[in-house]
Amino acid sequence: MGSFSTIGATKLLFEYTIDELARKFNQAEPAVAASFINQGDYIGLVISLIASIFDNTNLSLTKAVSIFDNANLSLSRAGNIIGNANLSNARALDIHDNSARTFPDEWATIFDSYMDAGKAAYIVENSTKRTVDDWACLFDNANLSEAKLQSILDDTNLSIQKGQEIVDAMSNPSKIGTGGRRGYLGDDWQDNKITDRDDAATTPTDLGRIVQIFRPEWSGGLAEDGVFKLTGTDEKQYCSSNFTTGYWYVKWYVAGTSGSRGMKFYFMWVDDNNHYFLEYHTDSPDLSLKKTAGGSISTLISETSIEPYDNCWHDAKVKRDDDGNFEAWYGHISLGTCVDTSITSSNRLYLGCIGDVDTYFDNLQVY
Amino acid sequence: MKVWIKTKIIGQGTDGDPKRPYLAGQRVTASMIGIDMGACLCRIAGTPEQINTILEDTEITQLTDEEARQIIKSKYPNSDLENLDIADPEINEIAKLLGLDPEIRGDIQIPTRGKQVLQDQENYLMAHISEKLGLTKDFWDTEAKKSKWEKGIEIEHDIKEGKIEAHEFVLSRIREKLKEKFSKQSIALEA
Repeated sequence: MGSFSTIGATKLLFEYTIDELARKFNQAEPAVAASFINQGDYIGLVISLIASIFDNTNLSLTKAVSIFDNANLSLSRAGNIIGNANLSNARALDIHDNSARTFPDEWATIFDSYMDAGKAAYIVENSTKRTVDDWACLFDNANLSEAKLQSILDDTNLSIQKGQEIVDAMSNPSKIGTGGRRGYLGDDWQDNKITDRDDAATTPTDLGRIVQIFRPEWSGGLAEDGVFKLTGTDEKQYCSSNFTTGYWYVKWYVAGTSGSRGMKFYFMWVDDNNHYFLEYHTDSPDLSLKKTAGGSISTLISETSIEPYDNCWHDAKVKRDDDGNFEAWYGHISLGTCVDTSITSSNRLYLGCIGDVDTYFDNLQVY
Repeated sequence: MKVWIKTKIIGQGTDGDPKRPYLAGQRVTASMIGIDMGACLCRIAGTPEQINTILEDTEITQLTDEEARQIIKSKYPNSDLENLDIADPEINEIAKLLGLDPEIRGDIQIPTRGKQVLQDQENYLMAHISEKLGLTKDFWDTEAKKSKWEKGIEIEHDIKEGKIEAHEFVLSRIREKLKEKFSKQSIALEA
């Protein structure tokens, strides 16, 4: 039997420093150490103390992992140790990457019940053991709740890039929900394609948000230099989108210096006769929120104070809630609010141009 | 300047001639909801001169906050005054006159009252304008007591809830102070 069992005979537990306890644990048989730890508070080995010992360099990583993995240590106890604030993110990562605990089931439970989102996000971002597909399995795992997954994705310890790569590989990306750094749909056109799109692992994302549907398929148009381009007269192209609440955001750029030019952003589109859209004209100049209901077009919010900047990028967004309340923005400035419930569903999202000049779009996001 | 109006809907509903509120030929910003065949409730914003021209039109009726609320609620029970509103360009112009960048209203992106950002952004910009004009908290508390409120903060709450009465109460005092400031400057210049 290792020296760990003699602790009580020579010195009371609380008389040892963390350094000394770490050395003792380092000399102990993993099964014995795990049994002691598993008895927990009853013998004075409270979680915070054990976590400090596991974080101490006097306990080798190999020994720490062998104790952590030992069958005598319950999953809940192990989870509480690795999740404790006294165990650093870096040490937790090392233990994770060397642990033989079942993946994804046990780790999904540990992430869900015992580890804060920041530490979990740190491990997901920095692990050299797991692949993107591994993490996608864990994110899909039923032991990891939607709420916890969402808080991990919102934590800045996880990069948008890594998060998007994982979500792209998930079986059920809708589990990520929306809010925080998460959205329904997004396109950056960095892959310079409109169909057969690249995932984030193939071509890195340029978006500031992790989305359920990344780089959707488009009905037409061009993708060049990382932007979407419409060149036909009054051309419009679509992707599938059934979202009816949240925010719709897009950047656009209208080329040319004369003639009637602009863009239309049909953010909720049922058919040719029923849709909501933002419309921008360079010649008025204005940005309006409009609807087409039963084939008849109405202006819901008219805005006449948009500066007529030619040949520059603009951005706008619109918000809609379940009650049909809208708010429209140009940049960071709210233009107005209105309420309308004529249209309550959506099949598509269209980007369109006005006139026959090149019109560019980028950073489309629904969130 | 903002007002509630009830007006007729014009336009054929086509791309070049969409249905929109009749505004006596004035180019002002507007937000509208249709209320019955051929009529709509609008909140409009423009210069006092533009608004006065619109209100002089016999086909246009000015409404109070309460009248507007009743119309909104009758059609959309879960909506309120804040859900039919339009950015006031007059505040931007005043801000520019005082050397303030009207875009600072964009500093506010999360509403502190209600669910819409617009009213919070306008309140924020008007607060900066007030500060620039020396209109202090004590001033607003005193002004509030002269009217229906007890304290200045109550006016702010009403602005954030989308009440034109509160918006215009503040704006009217800003206009007065602005007039006073520029008339003093012009006297000083003449002297």
